[in-house]
Amino acid sequence: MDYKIEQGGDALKVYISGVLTFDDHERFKSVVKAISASASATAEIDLTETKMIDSAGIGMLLLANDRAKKAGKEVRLTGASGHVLKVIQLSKVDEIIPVAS
Amino acid sequence: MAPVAMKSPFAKLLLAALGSAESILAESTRDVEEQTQRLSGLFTSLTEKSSEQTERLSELFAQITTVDHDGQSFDLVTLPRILQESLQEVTERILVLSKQGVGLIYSLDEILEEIEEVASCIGEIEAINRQTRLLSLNAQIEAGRAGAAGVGFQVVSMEMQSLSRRIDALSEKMRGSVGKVTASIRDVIGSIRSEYQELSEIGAMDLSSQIDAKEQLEVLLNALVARNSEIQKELGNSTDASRIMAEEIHDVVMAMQFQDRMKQRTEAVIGAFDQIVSFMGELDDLAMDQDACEALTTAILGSITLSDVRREFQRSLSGSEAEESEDSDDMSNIELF
Repeated sequence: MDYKIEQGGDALKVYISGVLTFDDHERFKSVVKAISASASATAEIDLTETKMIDSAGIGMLLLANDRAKKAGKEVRLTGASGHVLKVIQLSKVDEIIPVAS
Repeated sequence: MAPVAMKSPFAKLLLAALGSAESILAESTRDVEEQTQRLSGLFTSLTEKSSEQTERLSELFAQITTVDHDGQSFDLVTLPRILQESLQEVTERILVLSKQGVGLIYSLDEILEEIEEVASCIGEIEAINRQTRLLSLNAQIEAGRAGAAGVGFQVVSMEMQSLSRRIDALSEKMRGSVGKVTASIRDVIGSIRSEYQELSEIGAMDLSSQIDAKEQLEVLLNALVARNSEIQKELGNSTDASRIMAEEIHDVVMAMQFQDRMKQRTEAVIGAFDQIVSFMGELDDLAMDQDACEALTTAILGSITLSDVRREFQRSLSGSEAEESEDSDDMSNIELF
């Protein structure tokens, strides 16, 4: 997994590329911290370039959402398609974290 | 039939022919009646069997769309739905575990960072303690140089050295504890990593198989629903066809009851023949007695209750049409059926 964080408008934008699996949990911690510490009330995780995600990857997204909520912020998922979108729908993550196309 | 007296050969021939015609007509009437009753019976049984067949088809359909397990009956259509729900539940649990696992590792990492901070503090304490020990040693040397005046100061520096040794022992103990806690936390993180590795090996981590299973279950569910609705439609068609067949057979049976009208007509003809035969039997020969013939005509017409038969006889015997007002009797006979 590779990631890029940008401050775009009124939301923090996080771009995740490649595969998001358990092996990426250490690197993803920086994303979780960046979202919680951000000055913006909203964080948008862009999954356009994410090719594959496993259950730990979904767990990390849920964790990021939990920690953001504790810090009074909201997370949104965008750009998911193919396998990633199917996993999001199967796991019903879209019922917990808002998903925008 | 009345016995035939001595008559001319023609009268005998006529009588014999009438007698044969009468008995053939009577026998034919009986045959037609018997066959009609048999046909009615067969058609009725056909209707009943057709209804039974439709009922059996419905029962069979009900049986093939359900399975029994542990005394409970499950509709086959609901089975894929139950499996989908189970799959959903398993997936949700995997996600909860995944989230908790990653969350736990993050928390343990944070604790490790704190412990590293504690270890660095211990290092600082040890450095300060080394400095203190050196200072107390210097104080001792300076107290020795001062002679009797430095005796008290020497006691103080000795105590400081003792304190420094205790601090050393304490920091050594703390370093040991911190080492043990750090090792334990690293063990926990390591075991969580290996648990994830195992999950990954049995395919629970990559959700592709769950996605495939979900999609296949959806296809199966749709196929079952479509098949059931197709069978229901066909059963409905079959029931409709059976009902129409039963109605048509009922109409056929009703139509066959008009056989009775034919029987009545035949009996009327037989009755007329019977009277002619009796009349001829009572006369010596074919007398040309107009009055007797007219009386016979009246007697024959009087004995016929069916209006169409009477009309026909009246037309041939007296050359006139029967009165329509007498038609009601035979209509009521038919309406009895």
